[in-house]
Amino acid sequence: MNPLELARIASRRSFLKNVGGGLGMIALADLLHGAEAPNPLAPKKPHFAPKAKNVIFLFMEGGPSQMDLYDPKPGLQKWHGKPLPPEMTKDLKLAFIKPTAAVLASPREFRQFGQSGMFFSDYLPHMSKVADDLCMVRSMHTDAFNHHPGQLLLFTGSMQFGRPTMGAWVVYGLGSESKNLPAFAVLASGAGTSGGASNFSNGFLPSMYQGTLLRSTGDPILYLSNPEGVSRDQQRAALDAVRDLNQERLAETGDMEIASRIASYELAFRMQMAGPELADFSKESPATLEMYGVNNETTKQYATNCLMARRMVEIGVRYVMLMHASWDQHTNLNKALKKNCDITDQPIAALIKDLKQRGLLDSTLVVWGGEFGRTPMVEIRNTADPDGAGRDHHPNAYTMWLAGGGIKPGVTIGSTDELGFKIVEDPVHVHDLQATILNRLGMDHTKLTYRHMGREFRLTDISGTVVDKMLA
Amino acid sequence: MITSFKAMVDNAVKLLFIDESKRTPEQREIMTNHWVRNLGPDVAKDKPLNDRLKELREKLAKLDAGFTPLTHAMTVTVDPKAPQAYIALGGDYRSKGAEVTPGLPAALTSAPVKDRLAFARWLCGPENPLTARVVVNRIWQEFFGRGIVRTSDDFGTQGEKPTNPDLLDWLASEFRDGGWSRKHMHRLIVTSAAYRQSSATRKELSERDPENTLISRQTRLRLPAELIRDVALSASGLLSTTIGGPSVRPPQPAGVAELRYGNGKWVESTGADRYRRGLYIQFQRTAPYPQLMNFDAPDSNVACTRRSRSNTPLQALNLLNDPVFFESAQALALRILRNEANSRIDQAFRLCLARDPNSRERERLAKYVDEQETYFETNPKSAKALMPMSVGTKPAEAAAWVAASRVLMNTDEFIVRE
Repeated sequence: MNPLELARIASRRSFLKNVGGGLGMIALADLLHGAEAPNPLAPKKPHFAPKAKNVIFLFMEGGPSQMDLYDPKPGLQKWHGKPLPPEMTKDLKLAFIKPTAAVLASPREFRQFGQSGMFFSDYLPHMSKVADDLCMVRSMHTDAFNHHPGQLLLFTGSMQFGRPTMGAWVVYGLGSESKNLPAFAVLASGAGTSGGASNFSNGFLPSMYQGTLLRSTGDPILYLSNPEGVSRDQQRAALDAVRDLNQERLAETGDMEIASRIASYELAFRMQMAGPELADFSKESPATLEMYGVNNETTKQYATNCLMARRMVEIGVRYVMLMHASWDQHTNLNKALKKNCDITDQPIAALIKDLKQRGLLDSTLVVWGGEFGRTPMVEIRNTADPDGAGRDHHPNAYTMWLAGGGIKPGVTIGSTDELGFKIVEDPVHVHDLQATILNRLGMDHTKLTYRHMGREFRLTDISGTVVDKMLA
Repeated sequence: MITSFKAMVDNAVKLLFIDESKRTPEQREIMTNHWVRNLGPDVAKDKPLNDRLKELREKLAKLDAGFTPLTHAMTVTVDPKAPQAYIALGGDYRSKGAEVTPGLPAALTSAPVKDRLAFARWLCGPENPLTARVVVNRIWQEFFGRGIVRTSDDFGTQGEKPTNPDLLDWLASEFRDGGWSRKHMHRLIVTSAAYRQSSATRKELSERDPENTLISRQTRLRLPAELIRDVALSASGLLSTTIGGPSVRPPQPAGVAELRYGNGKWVESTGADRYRRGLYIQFQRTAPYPQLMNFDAPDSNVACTRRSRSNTPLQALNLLNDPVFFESAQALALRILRNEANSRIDQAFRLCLARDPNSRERERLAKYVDEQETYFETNPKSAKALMPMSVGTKPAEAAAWVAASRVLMNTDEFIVRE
C-alpha cells in the first residue's frame, strides 16, 4: 500500500472512531455496500483504455514439446540419430543431456489449418480448428533451463523466490469485479507442479492478492460446505450471533479490523452460495458439455476446469490460472505427449469457441504455454528401451500462443532455425510476454510497481518490451 | 559409534582390507556387527542357522528400539582448497565478475573479517550494536505488532528510522548485558507496564498520537496462523503440548496434498499427534497446509522477518467449516456442559476469551442457545450430527452448545490478542 492510501485509511478510521455510539453500524454499512470503503480489492482504473478485462492462463507445466505440436522442423530428419556439429551447440546449457546428444526428428505429421495456414501436428485435432483465433508465437525464450526457476521467471519475472506472481500483480493493478468469488483463481489438473503454490503467490504484495486454489471435485473452494448437520439457515443464525458479539467488541475497542472481520464473514456466507453455483453445470446446454468433453472420461477433469474458467470470467473473476502437469517428457515422448494432448486439446478448443460465441473472447486474454520448450536432441534414460526416448528442457526457442483480449488473431509470430535450436526472427522474452499481457489489460508494465525493501519492483523486473506484432 | 548403514558398510569394507592380526577389538566388533546384520547368500540357505539369526535379529531390533536416537551435529572446518568466488554479473553464475574474498561491507566495519569465526566474533562483539538492536526489535514487533524500527528486515538507509531510538538502545543493551537471553527479554517485556496496557483506543490519545508511537495503549493483534489452531485446540482442551519430534499431519481436505510436486500422500496423524501445536504441522513447499496459508504463514521459500495480517472470507470459511475447528467446537461443548446450566455462558467466555461476558453479550449468547435448543428439539438428526455421542444431557441441549461454541470460536476476539 502506498503512503497516500495509508493516510486515507488512517484519517477514515479516526473519523469513524470519533463518531461515537453508532460507529459500528456506520462502518459496517459502509463496508458491506462498498461505498467509499477503503477496499484494496475495489476495481481500479487501468493506466489507459484496456482491450482485455480478464485473463485465462492455461499453464502447461513441464515444458511442452513445440516441435511435436506447433513448430514443424523437417530439417531434423537429415540429422536424425546423429549429433550436431560442435559449432552449433557450443553455447548450449541443458539440464540433463550433453550438447553432443543425437538429434531426434519429430514423428508427428503437420498440416496447415484455417485461413491463416497455421501449423499444428496430428496430436491437436481440435485446437487446429480454432487456428484463426490464435496468435502463435514460435520465438519465445527464457533464461531458465530448469522447472522451478523457469516457472518463477514466467510468473514473477524473476528466478528468485519471493516476488508476486502475474495474477497477484493484475489484481493489485485492476482490483476485483467479482463480488462473491476470489479475483485470482487457480485450478489444477494432472500431477503436482514443481513451482506449486509459488506459482500463484502474492510474494511481497499483501496476502489478499494471492491466488485461491479452487477444486473441480468436491467443494470448489476449501471449507465451503457447512459441517454436517448445519443447514444454511443455521449458518445464518450462527453468523448473526457472531456479528452481534463482534459489534459489541467493536464498540468496546474501536478497532476497525473488527468491522472488516464482520464484512469478511458476510462475504464468506455469500461465497457459500456462489461457489456451488460455479460448479453446478445443470444450466449448461448438453451441446456445451459435449463440446468441452465434460462427460468424457479422458477430458472430464480438464474440461470441467475450462468450463469453470469461462463461468468465472462471466462473473468477473479477473485472473484464472489452469495448471496442468506434467509436460516434462524426458522419456516416452510420443505416448506421454499424446496423453496430455488427449486430455487438454478438446477442452481448450471448446473454451476458445465458447468464449467467442458468447462475445467474451474480445475481453478475455487466453494464454497457452509452459515455462520452456524441449530440445531438438534426444534424451535416452534407458538404452534398453529406444521407444522411451524423450527430449530435454530447451529455454532458447519455444512456442506459446495467445488469443482474444486485443491480441491479433490468425498470425504466427517469429521463427526458429532449421533445427528449432535458435530464434531467427522476432525473439520474445518472457518479460516481453508479461509486458504485452499487462498492456492488453490497460497497464504500463513500467508503471505497475510496488515499493518493497526500499525500491520499486515490477513484474517485468528491469526489462520487457510490448510486442507490437501481437496487438490487434 | 557408527550411526548410519552406509557408514557402517563402508567402514566394514575398509576393515576387511586390514590384516586380521592388526584389527583392534573395536574393529573386530564392527565387522561382526556388519556380518550379523547383513546375511550372505550362503547363510540364507542354512535353515537352522537362519532361524537362530532371525531370533537374534528380533532381539537386536528390540534393543535398538530402546536406544536414544542419535542426532548429527554439523561442524565447520576451513577448506584449504576453497574455490575462488566471483561476482556473478547480472546474477548469472556463468558471467564471472571481479574476484571476491570474505569480508564485511565497509559501511559496517573496517576491521578485517577473514573467516566465519572472525565474523561470529564481530557479530556479537561490543563494537557492533546492530545485532542486538535487530533481535530486540523483532521481539518487540511480536509483542506490540510492529517494530521500533518498522522495517524489521531493513536497518539500512532504505529502511525506516526507529520511532523510539532510546528505547531500542536500552532494550539492546539489556539483551546483550543479560547474556543474550531471549527469555530475559520476553519476561522484561510481558511484565512491563507498556505491555500490560489495555488495547482500547482513546479519543484524546488517538488525536495526539494516531500511530500510537508513544505506546500509550496496547494494540489488538490477530494471532499468527499456527496459534489460531493452538487457541482452538486449547480452548477445547484437545491441545497436545508435547515438545519436539517429527512433524505431524493433522486432517486437511482431500486433494490438497495430491497437488504436491511428486504427488505425495498425506497420511493423517493419529492419537494425540492430531492435536499437536500448529508449528509442528508438516510444511510441504508445493502444497502447504491450507489453514496456515489462509492466515498468512510465510510460504517457506524466502526468509520472513514479519508477517502480514490479512482479513479474508477464506479465513471465515476456514474457522466456520474446517473439521479441525468443528471438532474443537464439539470438544469445547463437552467441557462447557460439565458446568451447572446457569454458569455455562460465563464459563464458555472464560475458556474462549479469558474474560467474563458483559450483560449484553451474556443475553445474546443465551438467546442463541435457546433458539438452537428449540431448533434441535424438532431436528434430532441435525442434533445427532453436531453431537454424535450421548453426553448425559438432552441431545438438543448438547447440540445447541456445540453451535454456541462454534459461535464463540468464530468471534474476532477469539483469534486476537487484545
